[in-house]
Amino acid sequence: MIAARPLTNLVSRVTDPARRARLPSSFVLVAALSSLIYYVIFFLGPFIGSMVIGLFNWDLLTTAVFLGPGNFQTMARDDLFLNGLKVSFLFVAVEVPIVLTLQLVLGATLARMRTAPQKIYLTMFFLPVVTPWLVAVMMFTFLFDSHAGLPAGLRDLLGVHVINPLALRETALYAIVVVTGWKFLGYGALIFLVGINEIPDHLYEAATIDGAGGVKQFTKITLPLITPILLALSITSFIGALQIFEPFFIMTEGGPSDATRTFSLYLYEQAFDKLRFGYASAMAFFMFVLLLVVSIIQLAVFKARWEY
Amino acid sequence: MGVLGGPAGAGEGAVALERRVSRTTLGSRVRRNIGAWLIVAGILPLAILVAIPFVWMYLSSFKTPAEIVAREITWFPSELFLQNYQQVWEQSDLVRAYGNSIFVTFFAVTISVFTSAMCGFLFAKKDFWGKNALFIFILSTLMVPYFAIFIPSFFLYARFLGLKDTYISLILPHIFTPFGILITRQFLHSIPNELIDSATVDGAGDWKVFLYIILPLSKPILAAIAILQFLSAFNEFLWPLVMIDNRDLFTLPLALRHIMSAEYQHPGRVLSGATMALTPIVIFFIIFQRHIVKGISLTGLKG
Repeated sequence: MIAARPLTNLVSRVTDPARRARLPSSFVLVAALSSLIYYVIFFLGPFIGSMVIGLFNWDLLTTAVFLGPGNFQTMARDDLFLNGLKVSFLFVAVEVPIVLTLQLVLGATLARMRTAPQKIYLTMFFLPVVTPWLVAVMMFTFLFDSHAGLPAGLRDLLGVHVINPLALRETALYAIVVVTGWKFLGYGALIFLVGINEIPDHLYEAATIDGAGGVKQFTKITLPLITPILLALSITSFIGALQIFEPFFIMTEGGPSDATRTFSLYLYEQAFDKLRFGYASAMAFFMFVLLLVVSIIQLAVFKARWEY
Repeated sequence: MGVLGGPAGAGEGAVALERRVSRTTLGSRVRRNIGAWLIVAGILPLAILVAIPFVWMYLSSFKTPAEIVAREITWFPSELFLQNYQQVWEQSDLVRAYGNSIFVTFFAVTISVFTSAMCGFLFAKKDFWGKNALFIFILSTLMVPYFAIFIPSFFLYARFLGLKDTYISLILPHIFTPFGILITRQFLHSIPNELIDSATVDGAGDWKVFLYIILPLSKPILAAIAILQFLSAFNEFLWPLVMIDNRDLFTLPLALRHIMSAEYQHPGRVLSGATMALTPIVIFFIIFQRHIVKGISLTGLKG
């Protein structure tokens, strides 16, 4: 493959007038320029814009006032901002490990199944993944409702008194953890299933001959070999969970008493309800730096653990 | 690669069975089968838990308002109460919202699949000045969270480009996808250069090679990208929420949000709206289930 290339390159360079002039072909021009222009306008522009707007006090109606780092100082004193950080991180700290563990266990279990039941289960666990967030949110809002849904059912069935978990300060966030877990369980399980299926069978066969049981095979073979997948999925889950918006925006609207007012929800409200675009942009920039740092730390920690 | 082939694919199943029969006694075979079924049964409670919200929603959408909040809880509606559906159907234009979502999603998917193939080919097989820098630039956009550029993007679209309340504003954010470019590039790396070079020697230009060789060859990976793009464009909520005020342009998630806030006092109606929105998706998913699951497993990770 490598040897053939210079020859044909030479041939085409001699025969093709475009190549002789060393001009890129129209295809290369169109593909490179269109992607470059697109990402400069719709990505780099807004990205720089986010940093610049963050330095201003800007509400759309009056002219922007330059503040310098003023917005960041406001952030440090803003209780709702600090609350948002706390809520977001609590949510992630609870959601990511639990859901990741369930996904891993489910994926590993599905991997041991025959094709037919595996397919049926995949379909079932995947339905929530393709369900739009809005439908999920509508469903669970009333499933958690004290009058219409699960609490009423539990009361009748077991005689225990349960009230709507979304209405309680102490439980609202965990109720949303349940919803996101429900929604993403099948996705991660599939990713783990694919990873586990790529582990060569002979490793397990050898382990079986040596008398290693299912659990031992899982901890000694499966787990070490899918660490890269676990790492990648944990980073994307972390970033994804921090940005989940719909359930907080619609199911709880940040309440009760700010217990579910996450960082992203607060950012949205500051921008589009309070029209404090400068302040919200500063928060967005802060979020970017934070996520970058956290991903780098996560990567470093996992690397250190996994290359001993 | 046995992604969904599982432990016993069609062909290898027969071989495995033969081996198993010759190696093991009947007793251990039965025991192994019991073990396999125990695993299947072990997952069942979890599967039921995941299914309950769906079942409950479908059943409750047929309940009367009195029945849904009754002290005596019931699983099954006592009668087929269709007024929920009728009310929601008449008061919100779900068909139009569906149409809008499909329209926007169609262009988002088609264009992004094309640009993924184009840029994937560009970065896998072409050389030009600044290639690596451009590739790294495009990849770096994957690192940046959605919220980091959300507000300036809003201004860019709404103010500078004047695209508020347009379909274009919903399509444009999806027409290039760094993830699609990345995986198409990886996929095309495995295609031998001879294939392209021989066509080039025969006088085919880059566009011809792209259209007649690269596009057909990349079909499996492009199908996977199409599925991911479909899911992200069709379910998008926050961006349409700030871009679209005109109710005629409401996409499905926006229409659902409207039903949710307008009919909050009538759980049955909200659930019937959700049911109407979900049913076509469930049917679509079950028809294309194999492709969707395979597509997501092919592309591996995407947040």
